[in-house]
Order: sequence, then structure tokens, then C-alpha cells
Amino acid sequence: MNIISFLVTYLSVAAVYALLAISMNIDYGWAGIPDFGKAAFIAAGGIAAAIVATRIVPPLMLHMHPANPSKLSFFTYYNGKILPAITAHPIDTWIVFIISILLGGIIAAGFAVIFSYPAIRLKEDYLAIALLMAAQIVWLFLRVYTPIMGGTMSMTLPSPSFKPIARALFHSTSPSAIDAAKALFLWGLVGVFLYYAEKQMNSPFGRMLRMVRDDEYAAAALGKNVARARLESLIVASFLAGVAGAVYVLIHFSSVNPDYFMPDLTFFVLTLVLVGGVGNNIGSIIGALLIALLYRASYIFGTSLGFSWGSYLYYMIIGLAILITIFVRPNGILPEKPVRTPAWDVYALVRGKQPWFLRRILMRGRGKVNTGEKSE
Amino acid sequence: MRKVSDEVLIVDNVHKYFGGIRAVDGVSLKVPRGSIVGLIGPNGSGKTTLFNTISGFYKPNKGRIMFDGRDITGLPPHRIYKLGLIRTFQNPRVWRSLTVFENVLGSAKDQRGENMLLAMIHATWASQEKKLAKEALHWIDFTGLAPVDTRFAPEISGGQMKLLEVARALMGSAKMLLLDEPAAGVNPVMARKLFGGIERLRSEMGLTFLIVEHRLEILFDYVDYVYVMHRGRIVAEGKPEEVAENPVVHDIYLGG
Ligand SMILES: Nc1ncnc2c1ncn2[C@@H]1O[C@H](COP(=O)(O)OP(=O)(O)O)[C@@H](O)[C@H]1O
Ligand SMILES: [Mg+2]
Repeated sequence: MNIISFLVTYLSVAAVYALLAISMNIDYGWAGIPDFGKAAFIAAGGIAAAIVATRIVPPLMLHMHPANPSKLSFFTYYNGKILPAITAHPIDTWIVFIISILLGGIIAAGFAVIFSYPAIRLKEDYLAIALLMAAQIVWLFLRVYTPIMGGTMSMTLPSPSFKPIARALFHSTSPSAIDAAKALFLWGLVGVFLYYAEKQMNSPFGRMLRMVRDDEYAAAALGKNVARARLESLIVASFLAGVAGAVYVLIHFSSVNPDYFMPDLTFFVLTLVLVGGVGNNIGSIIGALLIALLYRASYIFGTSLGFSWGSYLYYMIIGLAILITIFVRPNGILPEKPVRTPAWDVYALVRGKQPWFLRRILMRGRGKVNTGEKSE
Repeated sequence: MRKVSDEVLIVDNVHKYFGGIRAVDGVSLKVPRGSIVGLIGPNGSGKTTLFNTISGFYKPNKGRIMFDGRDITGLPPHRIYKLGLIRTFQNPRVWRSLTVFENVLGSAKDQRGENMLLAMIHATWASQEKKLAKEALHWIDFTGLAPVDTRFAPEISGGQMKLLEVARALMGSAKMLLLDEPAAGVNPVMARKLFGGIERLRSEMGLTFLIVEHRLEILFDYVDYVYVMHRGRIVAEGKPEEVAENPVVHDIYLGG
């Protein structure tokens, strides 16, 4: 196996995991909501992609009848007519992609409202159980209700075409150039998620979520609407999970199957955040990079052993990674950072000093504050 | 037109039960605007439960609570806060991942940047945030927390946490504060300073206080009026010097 192609595939996988991890970090990390239903919100992206490819794009853009995955004739019609028609034009594959990520986000946000409704006012444990059950229901529903993605048959999806990007960037459309373009695109998306998450977090809103997480009674006594804050964080995190879910099926798998969204996906994503650092966006990305590496490496090594259990080696390795994290760095590789707002500039001006944990951040770049004090 | 009465808080025959326990069993009391009223009574007499009921954490089984001319019975805590009635906790509840400064700052009312969408547009909240930061520093200085204001909240002493509770309530633009044992764990010198501060807030800003406190020798020097609770009921009331002489109060405190 060629090291470059290993690296490129690995980076693509890690990027998809990073998207999922950032979403988990918003509701679990900042707001302290044990979102055990993450798999259902990711599934929303899969549902969106399936609906867009079978029912939205064919009549709207291709002047073709929509396809119904529960019909016997589905595969001949969808695989034989619709898919070739979409993939004939790279632009159309991107239109499918863009509609799918938006719709995935919206469906996931809707799921968040519905699934959390019964328990958002109760204690966290009830919310965790309600969300876990929701993930189980969505998964089983998709398996038995065939009109959405055809049950467990695995439906092929039109992946967005990276040929034009590869041609523009590398003047080549070789498979490795295409893979590299894909990895770059995915990391660009991680950048967008990261930018959004950092901005949302370093604001009074981010501070309020921490108050609700740290002590909900004090938060309520000091004017925070706890149920609403929880719901809002669940909605934004789920929107991102829906977007990431559409990316997951369209780019990572190029297909969709309810079993991609089994409830244990939630705990895989949770692992990325626990190892990387709860409450730290960069930490979540590092967790994704590390776990993806362990996953790929132990899978390749495990299957090369020739034992029947070799392909399960990665479960042991990841279990070990969680244990080591808990014992060595209980807050994860990168612990949570303080919330940064202009209030700290005022603090520095009035007090003539900066707190030690912000000194570095404020001295760099924009937050130049004349403190009238020599650096110690 | 809202009727503004002289009594800013009226508790009318309030009951709160836990199963068979009648923690608050028909309490009525009135707190005049701009006064400092004490609420005393032995442990387990229902003072904290009464505070929890007034501040919206519990719904009363029976009775009515009026604040500033409005019926607030059954309103959720964050709505009661918005009306200007703010409580502190007997066992301090601080936000552990935030500094003392942020604990105070984050308690401010009507922060634009707490709106999920506006939070993304820095310009909509940055100037308000700066204004509030100055105010937070003022209350930190007022409560004497300046030396520890960049510490994370769990790193300060128990007494400082009690002061932090008060600073947060002041930051919330309170008209009236319900203080649950504000001087517990605070050393006597600091405790007198704290009560001196309370008196200044009353005279300079017209704030109203209802204070639960076990250290009667300090409390009685500052309050206008005292209610005595025992087994969920008000058993005595009056000016501090009257209550101090009241044999019923002596019986309760000595006999239990
Ligand atoms: N959440 C609760 N559940 C059951 N019983 C409670 C609860 N809170 C308080 N109590 C009971 O109510 C009574 C009054 O307690 P409390 O209001 O804390 O008294 P105080 O603050 O005057 O010491 C006590 O008997 C206490 O055990
Ligand atoms: Mg008490």
C-alpha cells in the first residue's frame, strides 16, 4: 500500500470525523447535554441525500419521474437512468450535494426540536435516555420503512465530482489527484465548521451555555432560560450533524444504508471529543485525527494478521485510547479554553493587567491593549 | 396602570409540602420598599424552602406571592429575575469553568450577545459587553473580590463564594434581593463590611432586602424588622429589639 494514498484517504476520513466531533462538542461539550441521539441527527443528512437524489432532483432538474425506493423497479430505473443522468454533469452532482447538506441540516434541527421536547425541561439523564431512544427509533424506522432509502439494500448516491477541482488545482484528473482534491475540500469544510463554532462559543451565548452546564440552578436564578438555552444548542449542533451526515453519505460512502446510523455511531463520535478535549473545538479535531489514524492503522494491521478476529482489533485499540485519556489527561488532549470576549480588553484596561491565561492571546494581534505595565 | 404599593413583596398564606412534610405551612409576610428585613429560625424551619418558593424554584401548594404589584406565583425563576427579584443560595452555586469576573459579568440582564444569532455578529453586542464589564468590575470592587477576580470560581474560599453570590445578584439589576445566609463562612470583619454594604445599597440605590441569617448579633444591628419562622410558620415578628426580648424566640432557639 502506497503511503501517499494511505495518507490522503486517512485525511479524508479524519475530516469527516472532525465535522461530527465539532457538532458533538457544541451540545455535549459546551452545553453539557448528553446527546446520546447524535446518530439520529447524522441520519437526517442521509435521509436528506436519499430524498434529494430520488425525489427532488429528478423531477426538478432532469425532467424525470421521481424514483420510489420501495418499488421493485427502483434499481433498474434509479441506477439505470437517474444516476447516470446526474453524474453526467459534475455541476448536477454539486447541486445534489448542496441541497442535501442544507436539507440534512434542516431535518436534523427539526428532529432536535421533536426528540428533545418531552425531556428538555427535565434533568439531563432523562434527556439522554430520550435522545438515545430517538436514535434507536430512527435507525429501526429507516430499516423497515423502505420508501426513504430502500430499507437495508444500500442505495448508491451521486457523489459530488472532484474532477473539476483536481484539474484546476493539480492539472491532473488521476485518481490520486482527485483524492487529494477531495481531502482538501473536506478540510475546507472543517475550517468552516471550526470558524463558526469558535465564533459562536466566544460570545455571551457561549458563556451562557457554560453557566447552564456548570450549574443550571444558578443559571436560572440569574435569568437564564435553561430549557431554551439547551434547545438552542441542540438545534445548532444538530444542524451541523445533519450537514455532516450528508457529507458522510455523499462523499465518504457514496451510498446510504440505515446501518450507517446505528446508535453506536453516537459513542464513536463521543470518543473523538472525549479523547480530543471536551469543550475545545481544536481538541475535537485532534481527537478525530488521532482516532481515525488508530482506526485505519489497526484495521489494516488487524486484517493483515490473518486471524478471524483481526478486523476487530481496532475496538481494543480505541478502548485503550479512551482508558489512557481518562488516566493521563482526564480533560482530553486539549482542555477547554476560557470564553474570549471584549470584556477582557476592558478588564486589562481598568486593572492594568491581564489574567495569566489570556496574556498570550491578547498580546497577539487585535486585542492590543496598552496596559501601562511591562510584561512580567 | 400597575398599582405600586409600599410593600414590594407580599407573601400571602403560602404553603409548600414535600409529601407529608409541611416545609412551609401558611406563611404570610410583607417587605416594605427600601427596607432590610430579617428572616430567622432554627435549622429546618423552612426558610430556604420559602426562598425557593418565592424565587420560582418551587410552585407553592397554596397561596399567592406578589412582587412590585405583580402576581408572580408560579412564574419560572428567570422571569422573576427579570422583574428584579434576585435570590442567592445558602450553599454557594458558582459556575466552575468561569472566572470570578465572568461569574459576575454573565449575570447581567438583557445581554444581546446571548441571542444565538446576534452572538455571531460581534458588532451587535461588543459595546454592551464592554459597558457591562465595567459594571462587573464595580461590583467586584464593592464586594471586595478584586484580589481574586481572575481566579476560577471553585478556587476561591467559601466566604468569597458567598460574596460572589451577592455580587452576581447586584449585577443582575436587582430591585430586591433575597439573601440566604450571606455571612455564613465569612469572617466577622468581612461580615460587618458586607452588612455595611447592604445598608449603603439600601440608602443610595433604594434596594430592598430580605435576609436569612443565623448570626443574629450582626443581623440585628442592620435590619428594620424581623420575622421568626418555626416548623414552617411565622411564630413571631417585630423590630429586632422586640424580637430579641420575645420569650417565644428564646424557647425556639434553646428548646428546638
Ligand atoms: N427538596 C426537598 N425535599 C424534601 N424535603 C425537603 C426538601 N427541601 C427541604 N425539605 C425539608 O423541609 C424542611 C425545611 O427545610 P429548609 O427550608 O431547608 O429549612 P431552613 O432553610 O430553615 O434550614 C426540612 O425538614 C427539610 O428536610
Ligand atoms: Mg436554609
